[in-house]
Amino acid sequence: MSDCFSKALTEKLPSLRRFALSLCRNGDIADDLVQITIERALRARSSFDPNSRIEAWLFRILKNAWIDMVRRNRVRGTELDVDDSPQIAGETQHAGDARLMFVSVMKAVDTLPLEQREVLLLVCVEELSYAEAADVLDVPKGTIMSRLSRARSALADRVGIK
Amino acid sequence: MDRTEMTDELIMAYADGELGESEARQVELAAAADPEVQRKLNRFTETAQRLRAEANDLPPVSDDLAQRVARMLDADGQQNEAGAEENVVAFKPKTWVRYWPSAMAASITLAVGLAAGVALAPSGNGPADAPIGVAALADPEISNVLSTLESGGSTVLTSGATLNVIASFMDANSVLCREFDYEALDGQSVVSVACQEGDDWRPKIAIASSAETPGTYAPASSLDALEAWLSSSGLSHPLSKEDERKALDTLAPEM
Repeated sequence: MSDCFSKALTEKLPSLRRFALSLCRNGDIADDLVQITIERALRARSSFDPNSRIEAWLFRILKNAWIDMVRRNRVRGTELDVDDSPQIAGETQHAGDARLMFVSVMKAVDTLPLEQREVLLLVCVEELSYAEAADVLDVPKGTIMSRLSRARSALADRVGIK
Repeated sequence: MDRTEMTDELIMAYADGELGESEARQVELAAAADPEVQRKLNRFTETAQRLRAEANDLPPVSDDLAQRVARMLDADGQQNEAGAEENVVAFKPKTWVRYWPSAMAASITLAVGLAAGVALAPSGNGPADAPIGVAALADPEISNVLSTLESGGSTVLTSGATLNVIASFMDANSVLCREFDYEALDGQSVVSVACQEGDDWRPKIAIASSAETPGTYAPASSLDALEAWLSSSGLSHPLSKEDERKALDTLAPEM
């Protein structure tokens, strides 16, 4: 029973899950976020503009679902935080230390703050335009550019790009 | 100014192909003239290239998630089929139809009888057995807690159930409403919004989540339904701590 819309949703699952993981860094929560995203996408199907890229639309739904989840869980006192700090054991303390090198760029991304991770994912990995990323994250394009530039500089330091 | 300043953002935008012709030309000239600009340009280019290269190793989607999604799409496909042939046409905007996806219907008990039915009596004897599902809202202790406890707080009731107060709202008629979550000992959980009516708190919506997942999230879709209900009732914005305190202070004195 798969029309093109459902097919597109299915195809985007891995990308959605990767973006979800970059936000919450927890596999189970990432799965839940992806599921919520698909549910909302199906219900809001009529609001999708067929002239735009479906992934940008889906990422936006996912990001909003994450914000809702954090809001809900903050009042319940569990440990999700939109403005979380890097929490990779052992690497965190040295995150700013240029001598600590990462072999994997993706691993290095994990040490960056959320607002930098998400924009890196959207632009450099998912290849969204600055304007599309601005729309997904609901911030001005200038903010996308400054976050992205800071993220890329930090990343370059951490993987040893001169 | 005879020359655009070569900010990091501008150099990066060039690396990402985001610049128009004339701006791009300026960056190219600057890079040719200034090794520092060229170095930055290389950094921006290389970070993007290496990310893209690693991006091909997508972490796999678990079978569990794939099946959950497949079921939702199936249910959705059947709904569409029943109504129209248009599901063959991709991306065709449909007129808005309000419906609950079947997955959601299964996970929710919408307590439609609430407005006329259960009132949260402010006092009285506790029920003999811990009630389950939406009936749990008849627990008389809930009312007292809603009149006093601030959002973010939780308390354990005599029945052993936990009551978490999630947020407070003021509707258009200045009626105080409170969103809370009631977790029975057996893991049954009800998320509800109750509004002040006289001395009582009257539940306006209640969503019972299944007992299969104690201590975890309510089914994703049910929280979604709650959000939708809140915003359609003009209750999108929770009160601040101070406003909530004021609102609680004005409630009828304890009996």
